Amino acid sequence: MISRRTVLAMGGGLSLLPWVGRLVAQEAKQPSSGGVLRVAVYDDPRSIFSPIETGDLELTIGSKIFETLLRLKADNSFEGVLAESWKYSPDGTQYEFRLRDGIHFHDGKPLTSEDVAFSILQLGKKYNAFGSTLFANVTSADLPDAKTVVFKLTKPMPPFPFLGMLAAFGPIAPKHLYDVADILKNPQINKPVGSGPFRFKEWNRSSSIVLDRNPDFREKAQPYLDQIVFRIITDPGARAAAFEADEIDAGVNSPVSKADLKRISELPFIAVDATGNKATEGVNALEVNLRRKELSDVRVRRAISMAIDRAFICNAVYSGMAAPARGPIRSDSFLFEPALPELALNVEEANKLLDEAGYPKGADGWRFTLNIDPNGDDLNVIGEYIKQAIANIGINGNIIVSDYATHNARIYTDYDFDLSIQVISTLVDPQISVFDYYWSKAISKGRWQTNATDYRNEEMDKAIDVAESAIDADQRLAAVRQIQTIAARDLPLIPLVEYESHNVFNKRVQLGSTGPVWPLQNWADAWLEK
Amino acid sequence: MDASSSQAVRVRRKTTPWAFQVAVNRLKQAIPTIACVLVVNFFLVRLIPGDPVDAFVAKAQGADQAFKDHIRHEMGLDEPIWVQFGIYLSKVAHLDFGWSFQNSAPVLDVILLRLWPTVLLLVFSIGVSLLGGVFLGVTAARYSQTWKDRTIAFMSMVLYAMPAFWIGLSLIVVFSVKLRLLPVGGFDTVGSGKTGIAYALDVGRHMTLPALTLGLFYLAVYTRLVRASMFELLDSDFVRTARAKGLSERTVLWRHMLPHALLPLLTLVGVQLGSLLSGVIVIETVFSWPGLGRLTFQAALQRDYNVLLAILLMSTVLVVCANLIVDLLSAWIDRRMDVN
Amino acid sequence: MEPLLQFWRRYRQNRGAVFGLAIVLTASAMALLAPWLFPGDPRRIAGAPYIAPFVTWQFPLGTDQLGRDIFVQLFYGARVSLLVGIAASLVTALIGCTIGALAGFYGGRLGALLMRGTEMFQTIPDIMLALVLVTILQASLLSVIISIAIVSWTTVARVTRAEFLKFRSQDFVLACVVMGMPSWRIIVSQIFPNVLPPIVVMTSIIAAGAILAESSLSFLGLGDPNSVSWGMMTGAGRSVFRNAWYVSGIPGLAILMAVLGINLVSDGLNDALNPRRRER
Repeated sequence: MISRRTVLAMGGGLSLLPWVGRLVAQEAKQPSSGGVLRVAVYDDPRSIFSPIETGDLELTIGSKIFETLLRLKADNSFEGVLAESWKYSPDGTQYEFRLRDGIHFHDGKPLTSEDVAFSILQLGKKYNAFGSTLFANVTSADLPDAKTVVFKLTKPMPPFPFLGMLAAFGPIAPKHLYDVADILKNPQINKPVGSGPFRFKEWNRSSSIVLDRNPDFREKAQPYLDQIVFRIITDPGARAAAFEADEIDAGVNSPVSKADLKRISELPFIAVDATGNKATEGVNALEVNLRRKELSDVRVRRAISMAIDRAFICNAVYSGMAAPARGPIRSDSFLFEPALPELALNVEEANKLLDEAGYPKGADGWRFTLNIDPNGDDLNVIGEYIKQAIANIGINGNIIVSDYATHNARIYTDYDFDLSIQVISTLVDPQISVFDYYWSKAISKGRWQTNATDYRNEEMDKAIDVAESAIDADQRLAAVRQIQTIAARDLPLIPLVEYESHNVFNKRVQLGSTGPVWPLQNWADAWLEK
Repeated sequence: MDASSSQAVRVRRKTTPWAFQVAVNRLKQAIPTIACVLVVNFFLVRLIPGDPVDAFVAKAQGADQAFKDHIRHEMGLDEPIWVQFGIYLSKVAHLDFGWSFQNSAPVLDVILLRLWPTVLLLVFSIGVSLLGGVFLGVTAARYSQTWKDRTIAFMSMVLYAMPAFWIGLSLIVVFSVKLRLLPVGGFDTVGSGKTGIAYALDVGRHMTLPALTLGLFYLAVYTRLVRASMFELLDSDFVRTARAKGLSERTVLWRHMLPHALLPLLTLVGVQLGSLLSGVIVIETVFSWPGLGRLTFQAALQRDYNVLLAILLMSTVLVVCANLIVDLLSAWIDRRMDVN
Repeated sequence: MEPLLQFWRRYRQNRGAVFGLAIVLTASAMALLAPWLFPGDPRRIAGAPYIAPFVTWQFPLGTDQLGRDIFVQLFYGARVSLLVGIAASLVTALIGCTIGALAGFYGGRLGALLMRGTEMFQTIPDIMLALVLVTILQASLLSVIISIAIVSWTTVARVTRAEFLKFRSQDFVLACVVMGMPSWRIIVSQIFPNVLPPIVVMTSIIAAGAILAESSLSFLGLGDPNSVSWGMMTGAGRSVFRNAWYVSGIPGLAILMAVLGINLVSDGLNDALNPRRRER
């Protein structure tokens, strides 16, 4: 499910289609205050208490109420939000943050270093579903004064992934309100009180979530908006219609289908942005179960890869808003290995490889049968295509559609699959979300989005070890490139396409400061043209 | 209406108020049903493959094992199933439906919030289509085998034959996108600050399209049923007698035949009330209507046991109530027919 | 032969029913001839995506989002959709009639017990059962058929029972009882013919409804992804409804026609079978 991906990726890529407008180049218009921003979201969030959440929906809504220490900018640098400045020790085991002056929570109490330590070490580490992994190395914090916090890591971590992690998964909540027993079951979870430009007003379940302007926000003129209303519209067709009927001002993380997007973008009052969302983008790939005899042979995996016409997927499924992938890391990332070969269609060669591997076509024309497990939405259509594609090389595909929970249990708990179609998203940095697919130490029954393929390779493990702890940027880059080279050679995952994710706006919406994770910014400087 | 109960009604109706008797009989039957349902539901819900903990962490893109163990304990799923069942029964006995982890709120709150939009939608669409269906059905019978009858029959068939989401999407395109007369979906204009009559009108505007979509389907069903039942009766003895007495065709149709034709209709409506949750899912999805149908589907996908069990129990109670009302009405119609 | 001819004479008086029969026969012919006319996988990618209908002879009804021939899929879809309709309604009628007849004829404790069971089934929302079955059996035709039958039979049971109740105390039934006719014969030969018309109507509604229900299940993502049905085509094409109406519109029209046809046929059957209307 593309729309569900967790956040943050490297920014900077150009839009793949000329008609997808870019909103970055706005002339300096004078912001005007007032108005209600109506934003379409696709479901009820689990909660709005974002300090313990990792879903894109929860973080999008929560980020207006709870702020993070810093945010990621389009040039891959960081900008302070709550933090005024930060520094880290040369060995990468100590990170020090200095907070800004005059930051208050919505209840008037000041935000201190104690709140920061509490939010990361208590809330994040304990209740964030990934917390114990994300913050595994962050074991303690020194609080020299109310404005300074020093996180201590047991193992060195490069600055980019560490800061990026805090920017995405580190919203700060007041300790005096949330230091309660078992927050998940505590009614306090539904009374979000943060330091952000908007205050929680009400949540009409399955209908809307309303946030009001925080009049005491530290930037006196901001926020410009009086109110943000998140309208829950589950059907993508209905979301498209709501844009057309001017009932919605904005939608983030691909709010409408690619087919609808093309039509909507032609309306005079609609703008489409493909840059504010580099975050949610990733690579679609086939996870291949190497436990199965046929698939443990790399020739078979190469043959499957050669049977797939990636350009066709880009056009048919993504209306051109995607590009053929070459590896698990997007080609617009600064960590991408440009020497990776293109994965071209070659049915003849693929058939030859399969014959060589010792799987001749049987009397019925099939070599063998593989189950295909797509994971919802666009991926289901890709699944149908893969079935047709591998039929051309004599492999019979059987599509298995199951709901999200069942699907993930099949892949990551029961390992009961042959080919699974998965979105590999680059959360901030591949260290957080990509390496685990290839790392033999990440084979962990029941943990999602890790190594389910049973791929074990010492060379790969070594390269990952280096990439995860190298503080020196060049040394790290070399290791990450090596990972991609090995991955392309062994193909435990077969990369399919890099898709493009878009935000849709009514043209009256002015974004304010932009970035590659616009949905997660606090929107204090967003405004509506009168 | 059960055979024995209606028998009993007939025998005792001189001494006991008949309505009371019907009600007592029905409730007596209801208690074992509800008891069975409690048991069956509990295990049925657990039959759905997939782990609620997995489903819970789905929104967070998965989780590590320690966190999952923690959640499992919080959800009370680490106990043996019989212990869980016992806990469930004792909680239900105290009318405590537990906590929904997926919604971060008490189950009862979650359900009550979603209940009334669905009830509103159904009462409107079923009510209007009942009236329309009876009227059209009787008209068809009255003008049997003429163009009026044929038109009504044909139209109801065409309406019945259209997939509901098709009608819904087409209505949105025409009325919301092209004509901009009605909203695309949702329950009310969020943040409008309207109250009183203005608010009621606002909700009404939002309800028009979903109610129409649902209503057209029911209208087709009811018209067909009434028409079929009326045709059955056209040549029956009592109708002939009534006609022989020189009563006008209108009186014969509306006062003599219709009550008979209403019996199967009422049965059907009673039944439909039971399955209302599933019936409206598609429509609630197309129109973003914040109702129970979607909640049920969501809860099933999310394996939110507490919400599912509470909805199932509520649906049982609803059916029991609906059947009681149908029984009362049927008995009442029966009595009237006897008198006639 | 004679009774059949008589039946046909009565049936054909209803012109709508003849039209309906024509539709149903056409659909059946499409279903039977599909593999012979269009051998090979109907889901194979045959051309460019999104070719509109009536543009090229190669794809008379156009292609869908992956460039699959809609015309060919329509033929194969008829197989699955009709199968779902027929199988689901037969299973439904069988379960429903048996339980309804027993409950209505015997009444008393057995009747009460059966009706309690029926009620219990009614209280479980359809979608729950569908989801349980689909997830246990995996999304397949069988699970779709079973789901539809299991949620529909209660209606048939109730209607059958109500009809049986109506007839049980009538003179001709009482006479048979007095004559010592065994119960099963009374049920099958005496009462059943009389209650048949509403059951035929009901069953046909269910057959038609099953085709619709299958499309709703597909809409909710619970259909069988490996077999082409009209419902599945309609559901899959829904996301491009606004841009390429024909992808979901054409199979939707097929559903409309088939459901309409079946209902018209059932009306004709009703007219032809109904002993009282026969006299008119």
